[in-house]
Amino acid sequence: MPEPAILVEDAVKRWRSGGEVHELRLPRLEVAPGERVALMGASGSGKTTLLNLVGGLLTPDAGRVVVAGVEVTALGEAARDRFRAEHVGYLFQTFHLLDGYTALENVELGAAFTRRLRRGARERAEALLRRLGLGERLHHPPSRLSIGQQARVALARALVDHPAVLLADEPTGALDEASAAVVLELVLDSAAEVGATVLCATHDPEVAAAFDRTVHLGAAGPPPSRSGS
Amino acid sequence: MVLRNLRRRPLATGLTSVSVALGVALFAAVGALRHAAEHGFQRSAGICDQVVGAKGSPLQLVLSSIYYLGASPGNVSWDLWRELRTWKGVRWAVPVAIGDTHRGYRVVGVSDEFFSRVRLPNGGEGDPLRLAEGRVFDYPPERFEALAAELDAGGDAHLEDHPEVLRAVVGAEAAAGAGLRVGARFAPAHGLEGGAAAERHAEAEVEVVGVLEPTGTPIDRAVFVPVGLYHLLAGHRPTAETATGGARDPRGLSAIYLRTVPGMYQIRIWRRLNDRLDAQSARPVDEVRKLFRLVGGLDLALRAISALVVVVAVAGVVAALTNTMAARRREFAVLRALGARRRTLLGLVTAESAAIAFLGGVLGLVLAGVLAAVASEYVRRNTGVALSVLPRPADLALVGAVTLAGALAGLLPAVRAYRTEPARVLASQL
Repeated sequence: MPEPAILVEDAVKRWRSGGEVHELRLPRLEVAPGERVALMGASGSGKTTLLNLVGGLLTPDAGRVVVAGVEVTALGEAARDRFRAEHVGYLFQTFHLLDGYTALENVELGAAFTRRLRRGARERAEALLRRLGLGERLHHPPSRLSIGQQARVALARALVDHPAVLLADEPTGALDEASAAVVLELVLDSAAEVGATVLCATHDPEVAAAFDRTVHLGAAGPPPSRSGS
Repeated sequence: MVLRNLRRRPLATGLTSVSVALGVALFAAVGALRHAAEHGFQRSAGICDQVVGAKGSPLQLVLSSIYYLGASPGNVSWDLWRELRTWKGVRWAVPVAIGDTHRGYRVVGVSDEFFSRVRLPNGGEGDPLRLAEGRVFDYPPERFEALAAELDAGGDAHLEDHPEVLRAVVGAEAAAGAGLRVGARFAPAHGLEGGAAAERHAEAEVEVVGVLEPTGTPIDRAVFVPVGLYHLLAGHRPTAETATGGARDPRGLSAIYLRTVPGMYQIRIWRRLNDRLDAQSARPVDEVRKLFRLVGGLDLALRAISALVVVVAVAGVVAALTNTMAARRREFAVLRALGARRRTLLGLVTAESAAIAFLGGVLGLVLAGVLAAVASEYVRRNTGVALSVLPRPADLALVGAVTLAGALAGLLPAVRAYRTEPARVLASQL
């Protein structure tokens, strides 16, 4: 078996939210390169927290996280930032596009923080947006795009630097059913195109069904199971 | 990216940088003007080493006799001039009589030596006065006495019969302003603000024989006539009680410009003159320096105020930026998620602050240039002293300092960007 794209071992993370203390315990999670995994679990079970542990925005209280051969838990903050810039693409439920920038510039920002990737970022961003059907909307601000178009821009931003791992947090949560299906397909196809491993938090079983397998988080949930693949 | 962020908030960026610009402009203009003014006044002061005049304030003597500002402290006698010329170490002495005006320009009586001997400082030997057209008058002052005696004797002698003394050489600006070309004739008015026909010396029309090239000194605004002519004109003739030869004697001289051999003689002559009861000697360069030292407190205060304006403006930049920090938390969190380091965000906000300050600094220098140009034109119109207000290296340093201050002050809001916890902010689903 090749080295996993994502490896989480004995991870423990506690956090506070709404006055309650939550805890994520994950004895082991292994995701193969190119594999597409859905994360399910009740709210507060730690889906987003796990994504942030993998992306290096958070560090676990205990345990080990290895992503794309990089031991994230051994890195300092600045090194984790660099690691994230190079290897991780983020896709948020509310997209978090920046208003002061055009669609194209938002996508460019995805490659702005590593010198290696900055060269030709504009061309790549433009090509990617055209491929996603936004060729006519390159210079629009996000506020003037439909929600489906915003989702595409956010996706392009996450993938423009060809990350090893795409972390998606409820990417279809803000969309109606029809566009959700379209966007989900785009996410999976585009990720496959750049060879990105996908870790996607969702509460929707139908969404989860489109992935190679689903990991359930939370003590009450069933143990990790394999489906498909 | 920094510029893009600034353009997103054109109003805030514009207002804050303009406020910085105002402070910088004030600061730079005050500095530049003071520098240029001192330089310009010193240049004018350099036409002679010493000015001899009646006892009184040396500053008043210098202002009235070199810059034609204000009233003269009184008169000295012709005898003093005659005596001075014989002193050892005196290179030349030019008698000066000031009192009349023509259309707002001072009519100054000088001897013909004024044109041949005076040098304007230029760092080296000095520039002589040059004629733009015409010639200078060359009626030696000595001959006036005989003429005066003849006129006083009454009989058929009239001033009009002596056109060779009714001559004028005009400074460049006076020539342009009063329309005094070569060949023009005019009757000078008695007194400072004269001008009414009755007060004119109707008996004597003076003919312009020469126009001087511009010098950037009060000379440009003067109309020069032979010094002896003054005493032939009505209003300058002595009456029984003033014909004493003292400071009130209208036949006296307002001042004597003196050039001495440098070194020991200079000091000796200065002391000797100041020991007298009927005269004093002032060194124009010293008096101007003293004047500017006096005014120095004022411009220091002005500079302090403008520095304060800059500080307040920079604080305004910080306040404006800080106000946006809360709204930009999400932006910072997203940038972190995209791989921006904390330090990058710190740099971003700091650079925004510095950029606004820089913009304000540059804008301020431009504004200062305009301000200084207006002010120096005002000075030139009123004194004839030309100020060359040029950008100085200090101005560039000022922009640098303001930019640095902007950057340093920007650290305050920048720290808030630095502290953004992306996981928390992004989770709050704004």
